[in-house]
Formats: sequence, C-alpha cells, structure tokens
Amino acid sequence: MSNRHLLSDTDEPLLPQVAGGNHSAVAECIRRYGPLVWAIALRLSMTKEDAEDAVQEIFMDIWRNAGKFDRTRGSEKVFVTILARRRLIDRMRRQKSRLSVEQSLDDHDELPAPATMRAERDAEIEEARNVFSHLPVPQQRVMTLSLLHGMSHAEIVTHTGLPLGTVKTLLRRGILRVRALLTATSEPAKARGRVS
Amino acid sequence: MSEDERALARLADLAVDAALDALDPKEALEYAALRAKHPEFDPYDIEQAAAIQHLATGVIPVPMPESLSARLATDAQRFFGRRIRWVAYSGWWAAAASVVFCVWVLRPHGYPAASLAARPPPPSAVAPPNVVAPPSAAATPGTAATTSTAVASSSDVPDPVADRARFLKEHRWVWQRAFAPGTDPAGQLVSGDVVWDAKTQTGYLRFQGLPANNANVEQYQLWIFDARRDERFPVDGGVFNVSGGRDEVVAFKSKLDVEVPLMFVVTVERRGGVVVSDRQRVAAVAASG
Repeated sequence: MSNRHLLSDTDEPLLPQVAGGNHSAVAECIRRYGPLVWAIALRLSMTKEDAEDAVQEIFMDIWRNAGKFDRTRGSEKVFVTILARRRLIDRMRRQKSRLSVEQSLDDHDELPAPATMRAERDAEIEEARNVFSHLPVPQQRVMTLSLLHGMSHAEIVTHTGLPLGTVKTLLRRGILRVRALLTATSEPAKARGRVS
Repeated sequence: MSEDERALARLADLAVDAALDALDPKEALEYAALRAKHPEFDPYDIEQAAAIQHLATGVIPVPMPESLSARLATDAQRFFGRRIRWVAYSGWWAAAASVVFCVWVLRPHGYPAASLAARPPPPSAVAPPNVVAPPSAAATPGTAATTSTAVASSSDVPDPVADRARFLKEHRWVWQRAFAPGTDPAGQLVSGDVVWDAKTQTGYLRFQGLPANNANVEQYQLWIFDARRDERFPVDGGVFNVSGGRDEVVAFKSKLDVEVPLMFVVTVERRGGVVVSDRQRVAAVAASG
C-alpha cells in the first residue's frame, strides 16, 4: 500500500475550502460525500425519515468541523465517516427502541442496486478489508453487526448468543488491529514530513 | 507489562468501546480517569480505525433523494450565510459580547432553588428558565459557588427550549453527546443530551425521563470532567431541579475554564449540592467518544 494513498484522498481535499466558506466547495462537499453519508445513515437509522434528519445533522457537523480536518492524519472521506458515525451512534443512544435487527436488515435490502453505486477503492480501506478477510469468521460477524448495522454490544449479545465479554474482546482486537496497521503504515510518511 | 502499558491498553480498549457503543457510567469514569492520567493518548486514532473498518465492511454510497439534497443546500445557505455575516460584523459582536459579559458578571448570583426548577410558566408571569445554580453559594463562598452560575435572568430568556435551539444555531463548535443512564435508579430511564460551547463555556442539558426531585431534600448536580484537570476534581457545574416533564432543558455555565470536556455527569446530592461528590448516586452520564 502506498502512503500517498493512505494519507490523502484521490480527489483534492474540500474541507479546507469549506471551512473558509467557499460556496462552490460546500456544494461539491454535499455532492461528493452526500451518498456516502446517506448510505451510512440508512444503515444506522431506524427509518428513512430518521436517516434524513441524521444526514442534515451530520453535514452541520461537517461544516462546523471542516477547519479541524488534518490531511496528514488521514483521508477526508474517513474524517467525514468519523463525524457521521459519532452523530449516528449518539442518535442511536438517544433512541429508546429499535427496530428488530431482521426488520432493519430487510429494510436496507431495498437500497438501490449495486450497479448504480461506486464501491470504495481507497488503499487504506482496501487494506482494512484485507485485514478483515483474514479475521476469524465469528469476529467478522461481530464486527459487521457493530460497524455496518450499528448494533450495540447488548444487541450483538442477543443476536449472536455470545457472552458480552467475548463480543467486546472481538471488537477491541479487530479495531486495534486496524489501528496498528494504520500506525505502522503512516509513521514512515510522517517521519519524512510528507503531508499529501 | 508495566503499569503504564497496562493502563494504556485498558484505555485503548475503553476507547474502542466508546467508539462503537456507549460506555456504562463506571467505565466512563474509569475512561475519564485514564485520559486525565495519559493526556498523550489520542482516541482519534481509534475512531479513525473504526471508521476505516466500517468503510471496509462494505459501505456502498447511495444517491440521496432529491428532497434531501435540497434540504442540505438550504441548510448550507443558512449556515454559511449567517457565518459570513458574523465575520462581517465581528466588531459589533465583540462589543455586544462585552456588554453581555458585563451584565452577566454584575448580576447577582445565587438563585433560590425553587425558582430554578423546570416548570410550565404560569399564565400571568414570565417563568424563569431552567438554569443551573451555584451549589450552596452562600454556604461555601469561594469554592463551589465560583465554579458555575446561571446563564441568564428570567426576563431575558423565558423559554429554555427555544433558547437551546437558538444556542445551537448561534454556536458553530458545539460539543454534543447523548446522556446514558447512570447507576442510580433516578437515572434508570433517562435520555437526552448535553450541548456545550467551549468558547462561551456555556451549554444546555436536555433530559427525558429524569424524575422530579424534592428540592427541599435533594438536588441534581452537574459535574464536568476536563481532560486537563485531575479526574478526582471535576468542575462543579452547579445544582438544579427538574419537574419530571417530558423534555427538561437546563442552562448552565462554567466559570472555571473547561478546555477538553470528557464527560458531563449528573449526580443526586443533598439540597444545595456538595463540593466533592462521593459519586454514589450517578443519574446520567454524557461521555466523549
């Protein structure tokens, strides 16, 4: 994996311009990241209406925090995903009831066909995908339920029958493995003072 | 493995838990303590790893509905339109802010507890907002009383719900986290959130499901954990009452600078509040992820 790809987006970063109030950059930001944020929100929301509200909140967060984006610390897309996850997890915590997992998954099966979508090809994500594919199946399952479907630890316990401690351990090891990977691959570039 | 290494490993584990789900109050306190002890630890790396792994598990972008795109464009126009005007009139804002500051500093502190509760406004009078009062202001001068104060008088902010909404519109860098139930039965059904603006050191607590307190006996007390401060001595955010309404909103202001908020904790304390909480009755926790 090249560090060039690890540390930056394929596209020119928009957020510094967004932070400066550049209206064209703001419009491009919605165009570029809207579909990604929308996909994440659909997965981690109870209803389509809830997802729409979440997307609006997430973009407010993006605009508020655009000035904090540091391209030496990762890609813009990942930065946006972090903000989206924070907001969505917060919203989920506030919700007192959730749809059943099965119903939720069924709803999301109605998303547009993959042929109309662009898969993520970033190097860091590919690398993480590679790491993920080599994890034991139970760990893959638990991580998918947590990350992709936004289940809480307790919900994963109910869904899988695994003990809470096991669920936490599998998730922690998986995420920390990715962090170790990122640290290992980004340090040489940082050491060289490379920022893009 | 050294003690420090063990602490950092535990910190990383808790940071993963926080990035994926809510920490329970006990874990949140432990997390805050470890963060305070290891300021070099940066949970952003953990969030970043979770985000990357999230994308790697198969997020496929989906075109947004036209109506949503239109709403975002409208939001953007409002947000950046306001911001540009703010920059243009920053001199005026500075002057206005100084006036507000003077009014705030010079106004008398120490609201009677009964007037601070969240209650429906009487039809014949302007009701005071929900505001956090300095705990035991008269009894402990120079200690708890110096750490927080009410944000506004009853005449200028009659509606805390509307005021919170205005606060969110007017402050660009707002820290916002959801409340999770604490260990005390009082917080069993609590939900809601805290919003916090570091620049003004002000914020709003919003609760659903927090039961009314008997203000003659006990009050809720807010504590703000700051990464730059010793975890044993969180900033005292003041005491407040709630009436058990569906959507209680409480304004607060910290007079001690909170630089890196880690956690906002609500405890149940004796009337007037305490200087140091024994943390036995934690009603709600909003922790940084």
